[in-house]
Amino acid sequence: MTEKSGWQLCGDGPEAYETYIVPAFSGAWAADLVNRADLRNGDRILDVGCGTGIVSRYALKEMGGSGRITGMDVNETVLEKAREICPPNGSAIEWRHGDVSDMPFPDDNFDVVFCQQGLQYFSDRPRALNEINRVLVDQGRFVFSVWRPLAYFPFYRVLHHALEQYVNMEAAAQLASAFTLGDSTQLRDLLENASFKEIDIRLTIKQMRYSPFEDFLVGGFLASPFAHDILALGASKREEMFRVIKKSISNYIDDHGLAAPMEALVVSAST
Amino acid sequence: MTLDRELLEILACPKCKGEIHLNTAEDGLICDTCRLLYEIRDDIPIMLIDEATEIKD
Repeated sequence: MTEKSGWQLCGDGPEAYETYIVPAFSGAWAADLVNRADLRNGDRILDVGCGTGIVSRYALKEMGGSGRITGMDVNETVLEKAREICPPNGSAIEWRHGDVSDMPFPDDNFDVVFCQQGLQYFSDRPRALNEINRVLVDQGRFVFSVWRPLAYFPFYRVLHHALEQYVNMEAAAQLASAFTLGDSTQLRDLLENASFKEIDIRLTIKQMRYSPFEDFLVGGFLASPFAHDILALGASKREEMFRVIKKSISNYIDDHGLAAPMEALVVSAST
Repeated sequence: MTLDRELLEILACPKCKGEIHLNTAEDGLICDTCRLLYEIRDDIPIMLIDEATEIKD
């Protein structure tokens, strides 16, 4: 398993991801990513690190059944969820269990490769980018997003602090791993070294929105890789942590629940 | 079994990137070059080198 080191979801994680994270922000970011690709009729699309399949599903909606969509992830539990939502039979999305470092596709096989919030977790980023370049046709498009540094996320900054204080440093480090590739110079270098051209980096700011906040907090933890650590805390310590989090983020809670900004670099590059 | 021939053409062995084909039981994909069998579980091919089974003669 070399693809991801951070946010691996297991157990009920994929279900919680679809229930809380997709409506709060992941769906909106996926729609934005698919729009950036300017898909054409018949495009062959690969969604790397597809998770429960949100980007693939938006791409399917956009393509209206033309073209071919493949979702690939290294994690079996998220693929089971993806398959449950969009069964391979009768849907235009095929799900593949694979590793971005050794992709199970021939050269020049896709017109577009998407990767939403995946690249930062890949243990060997240069190798992953070379593989993505290899499976793309000439003039193919790689469209992906990575979060900016943790400092730009009021909600996750509060969460990170709470994990350090109440849970353990490993959980805090796991959360922080989502925000480790938000430097555009570093990104551009990585892409150029993997022979990508026409690199276009767009700073994009959106809002995470969920009501009621308490549901999102619990659901977000369930969807996280440290769900077990939170459960192991015990009720009183957990409730204290939730109270502290809510108080610390209160400037971003309005009559409609949580409303906190999040920033990402949305990037397109061609082969 | 939902993997049709056309879909096989867009899959390759993750190790050598060469052609693969369905086994006779139609529950796995074989790379003759690497002598590896990739299992298909719930219609999803497990295309991981670490999880492939070596084919012995």
